[in-house]
Amino acid sequence: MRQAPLMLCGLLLAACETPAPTQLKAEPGLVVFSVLDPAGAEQTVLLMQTRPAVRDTTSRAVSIDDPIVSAGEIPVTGARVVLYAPNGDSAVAIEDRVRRADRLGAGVYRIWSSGTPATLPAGAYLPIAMGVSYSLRVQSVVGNAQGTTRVPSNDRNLNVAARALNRSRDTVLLGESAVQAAGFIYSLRNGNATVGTPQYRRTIERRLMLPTGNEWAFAYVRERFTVGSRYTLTVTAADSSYFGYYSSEGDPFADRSANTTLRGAVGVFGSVVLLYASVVTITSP
Amino acid sequence: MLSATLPAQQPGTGRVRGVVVDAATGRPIRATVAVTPGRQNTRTDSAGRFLLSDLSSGSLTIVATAFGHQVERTVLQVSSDEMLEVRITMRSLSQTLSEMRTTATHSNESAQAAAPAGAATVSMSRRELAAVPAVGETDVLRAASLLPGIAARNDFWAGFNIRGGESDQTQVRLDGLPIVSPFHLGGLFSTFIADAVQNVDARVGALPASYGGRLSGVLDVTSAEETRSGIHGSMEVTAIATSAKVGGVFPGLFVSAPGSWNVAVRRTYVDRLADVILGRGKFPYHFQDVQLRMATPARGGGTLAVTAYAGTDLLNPTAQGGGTVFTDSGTAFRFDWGNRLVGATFTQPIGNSTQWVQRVAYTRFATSYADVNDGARLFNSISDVRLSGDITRRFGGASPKLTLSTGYELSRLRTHYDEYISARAADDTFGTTVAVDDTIIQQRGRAASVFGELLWTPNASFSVRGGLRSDNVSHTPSTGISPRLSAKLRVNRQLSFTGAMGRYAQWTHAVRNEDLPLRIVDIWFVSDSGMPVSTGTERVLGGEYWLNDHNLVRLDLYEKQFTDLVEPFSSVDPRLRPSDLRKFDGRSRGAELLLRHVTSERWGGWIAYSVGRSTRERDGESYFAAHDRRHDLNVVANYQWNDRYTFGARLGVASGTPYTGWAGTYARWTYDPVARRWRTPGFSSDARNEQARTTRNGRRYPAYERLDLSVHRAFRFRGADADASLNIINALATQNVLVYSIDNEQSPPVLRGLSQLPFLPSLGLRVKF
Repeated sequence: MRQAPLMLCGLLLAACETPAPTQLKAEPGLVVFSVLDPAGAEQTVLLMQTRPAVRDTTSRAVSIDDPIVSAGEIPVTGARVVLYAPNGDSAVAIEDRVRRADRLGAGVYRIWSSGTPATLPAGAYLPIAMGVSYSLRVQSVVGNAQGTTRVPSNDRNLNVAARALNRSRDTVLLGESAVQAAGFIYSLRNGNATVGTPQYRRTIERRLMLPTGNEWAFAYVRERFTVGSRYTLTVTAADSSYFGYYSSEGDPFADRSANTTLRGAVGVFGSVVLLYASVVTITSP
Repeated sequence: MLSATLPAQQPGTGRVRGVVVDAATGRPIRATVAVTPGRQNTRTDSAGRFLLSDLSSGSLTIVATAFGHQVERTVLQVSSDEMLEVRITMRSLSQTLSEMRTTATHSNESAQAAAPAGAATVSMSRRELAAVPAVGETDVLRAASLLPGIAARNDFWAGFNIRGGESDQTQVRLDGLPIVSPFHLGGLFSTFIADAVQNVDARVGALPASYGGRLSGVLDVTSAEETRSGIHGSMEVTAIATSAKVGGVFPGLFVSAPGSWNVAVRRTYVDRLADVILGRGKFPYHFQDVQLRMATPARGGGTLAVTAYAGTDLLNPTAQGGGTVFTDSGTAFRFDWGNRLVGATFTQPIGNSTQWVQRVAYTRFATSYADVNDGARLFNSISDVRLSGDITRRFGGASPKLTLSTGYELSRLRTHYDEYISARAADDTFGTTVAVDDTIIQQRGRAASVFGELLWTPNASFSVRGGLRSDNVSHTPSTGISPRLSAKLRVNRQLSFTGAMGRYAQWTHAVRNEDLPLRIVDIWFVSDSGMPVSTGTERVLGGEYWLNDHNLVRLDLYEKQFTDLVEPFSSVDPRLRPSDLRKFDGRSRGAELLLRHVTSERWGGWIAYSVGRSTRERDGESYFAAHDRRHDLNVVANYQWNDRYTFGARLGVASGTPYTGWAGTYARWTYDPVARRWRTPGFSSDARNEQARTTRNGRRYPAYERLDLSVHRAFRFRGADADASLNIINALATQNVLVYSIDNEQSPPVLRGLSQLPFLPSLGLRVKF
């Protein structure tokens, strides 16, 4: 008697067979990485292709002269990359591969934002100012993309000299200034390494370090400070594109594939302003 | 056939009140009751009742017409100060019809054709509902999705898309009372018990000003009413559930005329079967419903009706149950959701030309998930205590040329959202970082609406309905004004044209990202300072031509625009916040063609073809709505072969809906503002392989195709009428893709599809007494 329902279940399971799997032909897509930094003399735009499948690229040593190729990625070369300012000025980025004698730097496009224009490659100069919006347009063989960013602004320099810090007694505060940004990134560095996961905040927290309590920005790495070590406390202001794209890092619930504001590409076109970078040497736990 | 006339002294002009029932079964009939001489006519309600007023004195003939029945003519002597009460019995045209067919009522299509300008409505009678093949038992809302203008996203989707609108833009009402998310098992079944339903009216556009709160349409479900004396009922046993309905009449509470009552219950028992076959707790899911309807006549021709519904889905694996078909071994959680509705409607004629309707209702939908193992929980509820009413007055005596109505709605809205989730965020030498999100959101809102409406019928050929509705929602910036206008021109008895335009507003939102092809339940929020009231505008043109008494052709064109729709930022992120919802706009255009054979002696059915285009726009980027189904064809037919066998079939063919495809992976590089250089992700970072997607909804699933068949056999079982049925869903075993998953660990990546409903036969047995 029990066999009849079991046979029915078997019949249903057989009928539930899913459609046959098919091999997916993913067309190469455009990946754009560009972050405008008013403090930088050059602004870079990295263009590479999406990969049709998962590939491990981390075993390679990344060369500063040829970062995309040395990282195992496929650069997008020969693209037209133009950065526009709101006053109508524009600059056409030049690919390192074209500019350099050794032909390295495929997919790395560069615009100069400081220096003497006459000494720079023609048409590739555009100053980057805080509080100003810029747009980027890319035309390439794997697709076209565009994005906009409004560079954060800050009315005064907040950096302070290096200092010794007694963790059980001293306080570090961020100075007062008028900052306009979509968000703020708090990052602790030990040399070139980042300690812990940078913290992304929508509102600015001026209490960087306090001797007690939890209401301070770098409390998330309180256990990481060791006596005698030198750390750099950094606070960076970011535009909405940068903040939206990177703030999902370390967020296990976030949908990271939905965060780009670029049209026609994945990646980011944003801007940052380094508000504060000061070295502290820990003298007491 | 006139069975009785009971004169009663009434001041003023003459009136006739009565009920129309089937001669064989005593069941009420939806009939048109007209008076000659003169042009006055009316429709009976679901209980077969009607009221004719402003009748001139003298000899009048009452003509009752209904499809499937012989025309009944009754001569009455009416005095100016009398109210006559009559009972009209109508004989079926075919004496060979089975019990099932004779008890079913005809479609309301002919009444819609004769009605003045108003909502674009498609109706399904119980008989038509019963003939549509279904999983297990007749499903009221699933059957409605086969009508033109209504589309279900897939076989499992909870909700309907009406003319390109999102699924939460459709309001479902039971006897005029709102019910939220009335679906079981993610939309595979509707909450309504078929035997307790009289008919379904789908209002897909041109909604009058009395309809508010939703942007796209209304599905009106009307409860069945038992008018026969004694206790009558039915019981249905299918492969998945058992349902039973009993009803009868009771002594009238306010007048001598009896009232009626109906109670229906249902419970699935797959869990119990699995206990026996697979072992205890292996399939720990079931749902259950109870539906109640009571109506009693009141003094002066009024009616007091009470409707109640309660339903629950419960998925409850326990650790003791071991592994189940839903979970791994030892997993224990409780996941339940369901509706509660209770409400009353009081309808009271005032004088000869005025009617007052007052409603009070409480409706609630709640979802609750609690994981015993990790403490995760999710709870969401929305409740609405609603007081509403309207008053309608006709001007112009026996042939009113002007009808004015005005009304109000007051809603007290409450939502509660309680979420606790945790997940590993990072591992390093200092240990594991766990991210926790613990959020409680409570919304307290009110909505107040008033409306006024004017129906002008200068002659039998032309009518205009204009209205104005004002909606004020607490914590939102302003009061919204929604004008409505529709017109209808009847060129002759066969041909008519309609046109309508209107503005709509919606302040309750199911915050689902519709890109997801499957959603078990909805999470509801109410508009507040951070979430706008969505609005929509609509323009409709239509034409209808009756080839003969049973066959009609209807063509409708529509164009809709939506503003301030809301959705979660992501289809993946489980955290929902009213303030984090993103706004988008939209546009839907389309045409619908309906060829319908209104159910007659032997067969009924329709061919519905829809072509549409729905796009959405956000931040200047345009994309196809996830439910954009370009072509949709449904052929539905039922045929009675003889007094024993009835066959039903449904063929659905549709183009595929859009989805967002996979476009590869890439590494997330990071700009270092201190060193001013780019860095690649670390060896252990997830950012090494970010997923790239295609343009939103830039690809489409394969075309959809499904053939369903049913056969019913009527017979006698121990003196009762019985009906055995075999339903075969997806008889061609077509593998319609529900969703794709991508295995990108392989090179090249492999696309795997998950199928919608497979070939699914089911048996049913229904006994009526």
